[in-house]
Amino acid sequence: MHRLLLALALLVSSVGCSPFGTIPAVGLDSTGKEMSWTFQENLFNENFLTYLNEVNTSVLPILEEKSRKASPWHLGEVGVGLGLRAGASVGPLSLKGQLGVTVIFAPGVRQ
Amino acid sequence: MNRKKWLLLSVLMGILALGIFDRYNVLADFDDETLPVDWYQLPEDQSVSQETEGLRLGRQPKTPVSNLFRSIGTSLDNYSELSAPNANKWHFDRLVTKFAVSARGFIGLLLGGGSFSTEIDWRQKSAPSLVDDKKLSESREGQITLSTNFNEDEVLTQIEPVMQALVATGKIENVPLFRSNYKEQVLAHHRLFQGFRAVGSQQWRPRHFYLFLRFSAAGNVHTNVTVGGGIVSLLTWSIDNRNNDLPHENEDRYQKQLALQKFTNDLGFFLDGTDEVQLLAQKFTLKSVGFSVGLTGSGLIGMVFASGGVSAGISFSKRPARLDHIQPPRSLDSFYLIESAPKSHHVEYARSNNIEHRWDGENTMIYKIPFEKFRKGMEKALDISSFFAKKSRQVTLKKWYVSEIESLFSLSISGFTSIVNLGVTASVKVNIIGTEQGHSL
Repeated sequence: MHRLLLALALLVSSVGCSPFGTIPAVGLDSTGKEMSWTFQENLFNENFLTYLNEVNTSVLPILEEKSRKASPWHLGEVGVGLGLRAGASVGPLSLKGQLGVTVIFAPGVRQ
Repeated sequence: MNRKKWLLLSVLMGILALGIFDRYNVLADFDDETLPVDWYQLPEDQSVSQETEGLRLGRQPKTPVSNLFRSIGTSLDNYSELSAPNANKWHFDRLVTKFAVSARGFIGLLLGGGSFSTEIDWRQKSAPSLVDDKKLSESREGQITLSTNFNEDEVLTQIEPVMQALVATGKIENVPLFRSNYKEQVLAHHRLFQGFRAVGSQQWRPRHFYLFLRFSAAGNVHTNVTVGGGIVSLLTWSIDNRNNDLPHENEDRYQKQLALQKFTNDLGFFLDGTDEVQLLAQKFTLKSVGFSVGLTGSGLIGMVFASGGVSAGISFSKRPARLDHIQPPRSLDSFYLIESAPKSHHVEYARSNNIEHRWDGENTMIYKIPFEKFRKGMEKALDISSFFAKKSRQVTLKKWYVSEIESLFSLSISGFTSIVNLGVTASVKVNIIGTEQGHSL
């Protein structure tokens, strides 16, 4: 009984003391209807870091390759939007979409 | 129950109480961030939305803005694979996040379609300035920059590669119709901006005009803010003050250009009187302010109550006051707010609140806004910008900081402002900048 009470107390207190909150998102669907979602902050952070890493490691080599090719066009800043993986971080809800987060890559000043 | 059991029970109850108390604090923090109704709803829309949405004052949705700043900021701080800025290589330069507000005041990251309310720029601390700041600032504003000094042939030459690039996205089904509509919109605005010369105000000067176009896949200008299909385009016109005279070939066009010049000069004088105390308290300063610009069928110029696919405007930036530019204070009267296909409750609101208004043609209503009333609207826009600045400052970060915040606002027919929601475009935009020194460490 004591062990059960102790476990219950620790469980409740750990939820209450959690540094994580929720991350809300809002937007219009394809019919123009307003939608809103709430993500658990810790899960959102995990996904955010994963995406940041994927974008960073996959886009940079492409940009280097592009800028090496002779072209009359000068490639300026490039922005790559982060998306949501289907079903990721929203529990049973399957969701895919472009999040309002853009990673901006810049070429630097050529010496 | 013996003493030992009482002691154990007391300890357990204590732990439970601590947990609940902590949760209560989190909720209290959210309550502190609940957006007031007048932040996201214009006065003329409040009574209607309360009827249709069942909203009651004091029961707005929770808005965990702190969570958004903390979560994104700490994620960036924890990202260890960051490529260091390099003078000769492409690098991860900054992160831009967009927050949006629903019509019911629910704020969050923008997901899917609709207008954003606030755009936040995150930069690395102490990153060497590898990109020319001026160039960077211009690249934020549009794909190409036209000039108010260009003739129409020069404009068409400049926009040709932009049209080709937009067509190359494959999102346009009717290319000839799209090209025709695109040229028509750009030239119509160029005819208004051509030959513009900024005069007057002391610190705030018009920097450029902008034109935001949103096209459907069919090649037509979108009639509202939607998602899916189609493309968007942003063009800017730099203002060339070497112009001495407006082109006076056509009297009707000349009168419209004169009206635009007066409208923008008044706005410059108006901005000279802007008080930035709230922003300075957060160690942010005002960088630029933009106002929508529209033209009625009869040639009146004013700000626009916009929700469609065309959004034109003028952006002002601040420069240090120079003694040789000091002008005597000007008493400002009023300007027009233009609403196409006006909502009946807007007209009713104007009527019942003695706001001067009249029809301009069959489908456009114009409202007269005294600058004195708009002053309160501008103060509120700065208050809301300051709120986001304050929230960004509360995050303690080691490697990153919030360098820029742009917030978009709707203008009420009463002169007040509210932050734009998902379904509308902005009448006023406020851009503030902060330094990394402003962050608590």
